[in-house]
Amino acid sequence: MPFERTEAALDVAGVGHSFGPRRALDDCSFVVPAGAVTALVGRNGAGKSTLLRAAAGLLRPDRGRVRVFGEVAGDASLPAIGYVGQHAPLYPMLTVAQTLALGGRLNPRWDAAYARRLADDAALPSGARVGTLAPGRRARLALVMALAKRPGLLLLDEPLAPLDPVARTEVTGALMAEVAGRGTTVVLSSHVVADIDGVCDRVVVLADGRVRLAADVDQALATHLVAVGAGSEVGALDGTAIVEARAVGRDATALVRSAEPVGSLAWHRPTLEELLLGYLRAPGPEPERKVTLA
Amino acid sequence: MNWLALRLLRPYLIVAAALSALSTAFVLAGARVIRQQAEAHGIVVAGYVPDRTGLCERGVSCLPAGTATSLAQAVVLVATFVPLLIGLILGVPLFAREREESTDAFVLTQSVPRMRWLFTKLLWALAAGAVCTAAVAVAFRLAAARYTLIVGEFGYSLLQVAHKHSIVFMVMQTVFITALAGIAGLAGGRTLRTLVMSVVAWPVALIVAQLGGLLLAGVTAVLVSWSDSLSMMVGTLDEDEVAAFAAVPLGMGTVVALLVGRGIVRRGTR
Repeated sequence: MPFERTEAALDVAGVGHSFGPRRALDDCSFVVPAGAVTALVGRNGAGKSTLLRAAAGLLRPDRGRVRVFGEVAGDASLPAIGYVGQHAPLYPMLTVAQTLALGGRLNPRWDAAYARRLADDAALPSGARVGTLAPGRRARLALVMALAKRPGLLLLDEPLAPLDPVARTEVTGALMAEVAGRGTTVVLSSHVVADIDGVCDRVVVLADGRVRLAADVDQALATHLVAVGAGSEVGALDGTAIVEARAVGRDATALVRSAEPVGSLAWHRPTLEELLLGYLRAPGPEPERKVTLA
Repeated sequence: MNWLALRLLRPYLIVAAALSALSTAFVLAGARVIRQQAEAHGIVVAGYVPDRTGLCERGVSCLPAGTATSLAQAVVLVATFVPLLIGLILGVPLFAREREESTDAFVLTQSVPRMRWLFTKLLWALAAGAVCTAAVAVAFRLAAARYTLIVGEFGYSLLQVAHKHSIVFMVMQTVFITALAGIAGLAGGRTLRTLVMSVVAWPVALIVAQLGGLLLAGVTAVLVSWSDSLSMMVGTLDEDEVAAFAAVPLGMGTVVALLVGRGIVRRGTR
């Protein structure tokens, strides 16, 4: 195998980055094991794209380090990654055939036959200029370019956003086939929970530049419960275990870190959507207040 | 990477080459017309240049009034502004357009070292700019410079600040502006902003180059006056050599721009 499977595919350790006064990432740490399909979930502006750009080596974070299969993200890790940015940026003046040929020129491990097959499956016309393709088609071509590079780690920044429902299914199918066939690690960002449900086996939730949750999906679902009941009863729960609580009239719903139900509340296992929404809605930690002595 | 760099540069190369060819043709044809008119009026240009001796006074055109003088001024304008224009045509879109369209994210995540992307594109643009400007500069220097030396109207003396009758100086102007605009586009990622910044930087760069050239020429003159061996080696400084000294700061500025570009790519383009 071209990539060392005993290494973590992606190791993000203490990463922080600011754009001027705005803090985009704050002490982010998580590990993506090789072969996993990981969803990076967060609201707009949560830092997903910044994190993926750091993993692709497009951005050097102010603090911390990002390693891809043990290599610091940068030139050394380029052959190991396939990256599809938001809006699938490709050269609009090139034709589809020229774009595929360019992939061969820029990547020593380029699989031309595989690229051709994926392009045919996506019904991409060879002679069409990329700039004339519909956004969905362009996204498919960008994905072909990333897959035919034969990477060990695919970094996809909201890859399904411009696709219609049929194309979403097809792209998801192609991704799953790649994972099943080659064990490629996939990290895909999304703020649409439906896009990742049933696709990913790990999840990283980002909010305000911080990692709120990084876990196996099954394990995360097994260690959380949703409590529904009177507001006073929900309020009596252990505060440190409550991820997020919402009141609707006199009733309340809470997402709780707990494997077993307690008390007389109605409990159920959260769906992935309930779990992710709970963490996305959860209030962040209070910012540190600096007190200066006069 | 060469294929991609040339493919992306292609439209700008075509425009720069066309501008260079048209300018060269204009300079050559203009010089021919000026020579014919000067000869028809019995003016022996060789008698005036290079130091405007004889009847030719400073500030007064020694060429026949009308077409010859107008053409000589137009030729100077071409020689002054074509190096800038070629530099802008090749330099402004070099990285700014890729940054604007985010296609840099595509090319920088292929299996090619990022410095190769930076330097391949820059070197092709610099080489193409140098060749395009060199064609105009050689034509100007060999065929037209002698006439423009004795044209003297208002505005011409201002142009002398921006223009030197030196192939090296003209070529280095293009090289510097191409590198400056390219790196400004890499840093800022906006084409219009890069264009405005490069145009504003041009006169500043020329003033710095002139001052730097004068300083270098002065230092050389002092060294030559002190040392017989250096005097033998360098000889006396004429206008061309002083202009060549003014090209040195432009060359240094180009190197600084390349180093800044390397730093930007190392840190990440955004």
